[in-house]
Amino acid sequence: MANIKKIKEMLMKAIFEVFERAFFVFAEPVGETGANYQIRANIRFSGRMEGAMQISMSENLAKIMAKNMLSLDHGQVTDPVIADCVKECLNMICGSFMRKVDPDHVFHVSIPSFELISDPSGDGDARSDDSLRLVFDAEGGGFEVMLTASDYL
Amino acid sequence: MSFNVLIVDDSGAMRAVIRKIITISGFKMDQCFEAENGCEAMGQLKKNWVDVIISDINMPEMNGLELLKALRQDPLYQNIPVIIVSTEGSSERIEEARQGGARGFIMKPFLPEEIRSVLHDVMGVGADGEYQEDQRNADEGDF
Repeated sequence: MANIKKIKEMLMKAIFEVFERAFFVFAEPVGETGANYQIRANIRFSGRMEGAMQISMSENLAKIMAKNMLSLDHGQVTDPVIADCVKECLNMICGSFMRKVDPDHVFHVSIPSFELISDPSGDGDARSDDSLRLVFDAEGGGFEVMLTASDYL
Repeated sequence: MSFNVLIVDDSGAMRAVIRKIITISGFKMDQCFEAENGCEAMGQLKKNWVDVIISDINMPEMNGLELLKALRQDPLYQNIPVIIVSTEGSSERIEEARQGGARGFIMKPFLPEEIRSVLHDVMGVGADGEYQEDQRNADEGDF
């Protein structure tokens, strides 16, 4: 149980770090947002821990993140740019989290994938009953990060 | 003195951010080339003069560590300084990059100041943006 708490703290720290430093978005942890997500990215990792991570968010939030990261005008934010930014966001969260879990040893991280959500309850790589799910609210919309990993319980 | 920079990352957004940070940092950049992976980077090197390479690790086709190896095996490119910018930052990975010949290591997400500082140190550029003779041992890096 203590381990889950530690893992949750490390994941939370990694999320804040990435959203604030790379996207200038300040997120607030909430119980539920009831948000409808349109965008999702997935990544897999292996090393001391093995599993998957997923981020889901509203299209509006993704647009704001892309706009902030690249200093673009709203009209310049295209679908490929959004996909690239969301994948890079998850890549950075995963890397930052792994560094906190084990700063000494190498983790292998997959190339992130991106999808538009047709079924909001659909399963990605990270979804399972024992997933750790963190939900946030931010200016522009809500998002959630889900972690499924072996050996963290 | 101005430098030609090659940015290697499979994310176009990340390449654009690094390029922008270098542009506003006061670093004297002449031309900026981009590549999506190590293979493309080697192609860019064949066509262009490059003074410093800034590369990600986790990329398809040829990753950053493989790129380091390919550079070290080629007498034409083995002395080009390489700065790794990656989400991977374990001490084991940093050591691997250092052993592979990387001169600097920056972890994502980075602050603009970190890019500026490592780039200036690796290239021997002073606070005034001017190139200075590097008096350090060639094996030293910014890790």
